[in-house]
Amino acid sequence: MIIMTKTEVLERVGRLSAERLEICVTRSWVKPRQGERGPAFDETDLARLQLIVELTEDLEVNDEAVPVVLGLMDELNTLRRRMKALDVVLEDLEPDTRRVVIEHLRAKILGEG
Amino acid sequence: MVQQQHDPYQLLGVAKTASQDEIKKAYRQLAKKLHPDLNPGDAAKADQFGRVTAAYDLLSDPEKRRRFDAGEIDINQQERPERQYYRAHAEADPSARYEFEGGFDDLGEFFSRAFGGRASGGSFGERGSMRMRGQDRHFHLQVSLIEALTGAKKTVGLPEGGKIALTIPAGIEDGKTMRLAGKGEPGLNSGPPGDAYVRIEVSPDPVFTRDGDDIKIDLPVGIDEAVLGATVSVPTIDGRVNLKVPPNSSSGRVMRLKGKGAPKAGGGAGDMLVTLKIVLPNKADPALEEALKTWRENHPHDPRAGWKGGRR
Repeated sequence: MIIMTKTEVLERVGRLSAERLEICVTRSWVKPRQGERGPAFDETDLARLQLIVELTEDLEVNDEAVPVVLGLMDELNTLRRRMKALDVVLEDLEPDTRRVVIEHLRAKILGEG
Repeated sequence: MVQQQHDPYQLLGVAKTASQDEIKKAYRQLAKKLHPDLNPGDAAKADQFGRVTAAYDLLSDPEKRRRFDAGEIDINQQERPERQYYRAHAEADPSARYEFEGGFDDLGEFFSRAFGGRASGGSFGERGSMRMRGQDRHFHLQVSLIEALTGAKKTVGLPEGGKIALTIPAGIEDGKTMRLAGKGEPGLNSGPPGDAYVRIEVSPDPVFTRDGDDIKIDLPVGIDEAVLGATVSVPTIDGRVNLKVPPNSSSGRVMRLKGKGAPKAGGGAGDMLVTLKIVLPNKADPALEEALKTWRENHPHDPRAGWKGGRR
């Protein structure tokens, strides 16, 4: 895992000012690990900062709405992560069991369609 | 279509005469619809977003826009670095710092049990200091049919040395998985250990076969035993028993030995089904031939009377 300081982050993330980075950290929109010499950012933090820049600059999300959007996105990503874990586990089932699960799910989803 | 993919004006849906403000506005409209972090899993939108972004990068820079208009560059010369969006990081990040902190209890019994207790108030720290349950281990264990039927004590060796002892319950079926709670890998930072899962593979037996709770066996009998009846010693999974073969038994007749089958989970046991197989002497026997010739002359008998194969 590559760990970056604030200065390195500012070089890597386009359109991000030191001032905005400070806001992102103090409002916990990004949660860098605490290193010995201040916050230590990794690639996930970097991508999240880039996303926040795009949300606020391109998608016109204002600062009040940023935590709302991030929160929903975190929920969605966590659910997708859980679904992926479920997929891996279901793939390991016996072919017959897997087929039954798929059939039941399809019937359920179509039934609610 | 090809034209459209290479024309940044068409990609953004603006006129060639559009002002910088109009271009920016058009891009924002499209970004709201297409941003990959808002449309996870939609490859088509992600691809379109990439092209729209490239078009915007070109047209939002007045110098690049001038050169494009003059035909000096095209959109393909526009740098489009392969980009990983936030979602890809979020779905792979082991630290779980950005995991949703709400519960999954309302999603139903299954998800509540499978996913519950993972997120806990956002106190996820570094993986190194996080209390984590150990990984589960998975094993395959081959046992004989007799071991599976009568139960057995076995051990499975661990890859790093050491072994896990386990008791195979009597009557376990082929393909069943045993869960050994706490026998998985140790937890991190005094987290609980994972579980071990042992999948049982039952190897076939030359004498016994299993059919649900019943056990099947073929019993060879002589023609004299089949005709005259006999008492024959047969093996069961818990010792030999004497089986009475009634007089005049055909080959294929099935005799049931109650309670001599596989142990049932809730107590009791299935049956043993003994199928008679008439076996003639290895060599032709003149005395037997003579006796049967005489018998045939005096006792007309159609063995295929009532046989459905006789009418086709």
